[in-house]
Amino acid sequence: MEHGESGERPPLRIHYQFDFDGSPGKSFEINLDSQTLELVTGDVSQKPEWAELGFHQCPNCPLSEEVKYCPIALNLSDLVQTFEDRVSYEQASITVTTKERVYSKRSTIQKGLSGMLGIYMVTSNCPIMDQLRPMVRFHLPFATPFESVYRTIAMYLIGQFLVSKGGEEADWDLDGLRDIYKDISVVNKGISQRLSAASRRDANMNALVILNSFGDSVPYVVENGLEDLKYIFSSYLKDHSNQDETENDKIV
Amino acid sequence: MSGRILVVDDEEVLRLTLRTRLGSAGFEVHTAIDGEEALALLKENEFDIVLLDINMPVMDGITALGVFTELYPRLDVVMLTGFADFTTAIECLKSGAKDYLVKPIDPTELVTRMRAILRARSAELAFEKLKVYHTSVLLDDLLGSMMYTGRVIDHLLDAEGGKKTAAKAVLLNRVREMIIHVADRITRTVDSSDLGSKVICLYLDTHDIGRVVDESFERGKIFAESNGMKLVKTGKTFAAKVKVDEEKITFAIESLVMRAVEKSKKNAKLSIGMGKHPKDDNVIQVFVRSSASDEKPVRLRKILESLDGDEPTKLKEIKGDGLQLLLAQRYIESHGGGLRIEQDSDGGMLYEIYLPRESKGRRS
Repeated sequence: MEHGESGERPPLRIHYQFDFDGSPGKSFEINLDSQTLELVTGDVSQKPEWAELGFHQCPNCPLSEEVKYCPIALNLSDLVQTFEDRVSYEQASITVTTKERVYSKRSTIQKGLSGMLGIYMVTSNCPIMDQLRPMVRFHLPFATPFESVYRTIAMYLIGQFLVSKGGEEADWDLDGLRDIYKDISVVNKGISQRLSAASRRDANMNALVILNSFGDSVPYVVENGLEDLKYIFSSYLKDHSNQDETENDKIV
Repeated sequence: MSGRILVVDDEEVLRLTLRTRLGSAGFEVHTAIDGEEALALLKENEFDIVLLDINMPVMDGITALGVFTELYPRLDVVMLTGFADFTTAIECLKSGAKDYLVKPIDPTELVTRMRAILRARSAELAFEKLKVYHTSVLLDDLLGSMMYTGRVIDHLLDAEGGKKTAAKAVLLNRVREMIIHVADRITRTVDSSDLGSKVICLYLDTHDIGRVVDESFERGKIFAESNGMKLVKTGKTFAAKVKVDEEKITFAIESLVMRAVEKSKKNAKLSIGMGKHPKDDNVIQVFVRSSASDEKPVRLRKILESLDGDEPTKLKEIKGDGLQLLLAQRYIESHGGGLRIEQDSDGGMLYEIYLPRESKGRRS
């Protein structure tokens, strides 16, 4: 296990490469602190107006006025500028490289961009988005809504298990997860207003819309008692049920 | 409240999310990847609402909106837009979109808006149905009865000849004026309700126009004989299936027969017939001809002007018979056909109806 090792660890590196048809490609290197999973950034050279905290500040933002810039917006500024003139449905060959593997797909800009936006948003120290930060450790580029929902719920349940181990009452009903996504939806709306001000075309906006759609699916699946995920556990549930029957036989 | 919704967006994740959300709220949801695919689905299925993304490859939302509103005027289109497209969304509203939703779309707002549109839609449809019914009553029952009464009064005024007293004539003329006045009001009401053509276009079905002409001939013959004339069929009517509202077209043909009878000289030869259009096999021609007419060219011009100008006020000038022609013309035009009235050089009159075999009616 990686945390069993001692000594200072290098940052987690995720590299995104966009190759367009007939125009130069774009390359992005994302470094995350291996311990805190916080985004490791240099100084942002140009701090745009739309990144100021007061500019379409999210109604549920807990940050005080002393914080001058929205941490998410500030970290997104370079990325947003790069794609401000891009159309969402433009095709690109996208390659994502992590230490463990390489992912490659011919897809739309908005799809590749949404993966990157997701990383920036949960690693920028936004108190609301921070709650999803553990997911970034297992970042899955080009994820489907189903995969994302699975990862999210799995992350939350592991978190609750750890809470329970710490002696506190765990939220096995996933009520807290629904609340988290209610808040995240508000943040997405706020960020979308900033992106709208910063973009001339729709690639940035639609990338966020995709992320938001993933988020929308989570409360729905939770409300339905995870029925949508049940079939993938059919063999597990069958074994579990057989075990219960054996126990009952013993009691009789 | 269920409704059929077509989601058109190039992004799979969005289509899936909208489908899930709307589906769980009880709507029947179908999806299309762009305007072209949506168009193919619209051709095969009926939808209440289309959720249409503005920025899409192949056929973008704005182009698709233009096509949808043109081909499916009853469809409610809701545009999906990002903030940057706000101005475009407003333009879309001006171009016929019902509403717009800004991405990211709040799921509760989405369902609420869809339900509101469906509610308004069913209320509109019910109201329109009621209006159509009432307009139908105005046109068919009231106006038809009044036209008949008008003809009876004309007959009384002419038939009594020397026996009629001056007082009777004044009273009959007064009643006649009142009938024309009320008929004028009914026509104005129908015109201003913008439902005239819709009423006329109701219940289109395929009928054998030959049979319709034959039946009109039988009734016209009785009317002609009661006026001391003889109506004959010219040539042999043939079976030709035409998509028409049989009742309305019968009325139109009979209007022309009655007009021919009323305006013809006593020694005139009256005929009714039908055939293919000399230049177009797909057009059926029904004609009523009178060999000698009392029709005054000036009077005829006024009627035709009224038909062209479509101004009810002129009806007072041309009295009741023009109104009947006006209705006949509208019924025929509503089936994609045309009416031509011509004065022959030998003093006769020719009334011609043209009907396409496949109606181009304005049914919506």
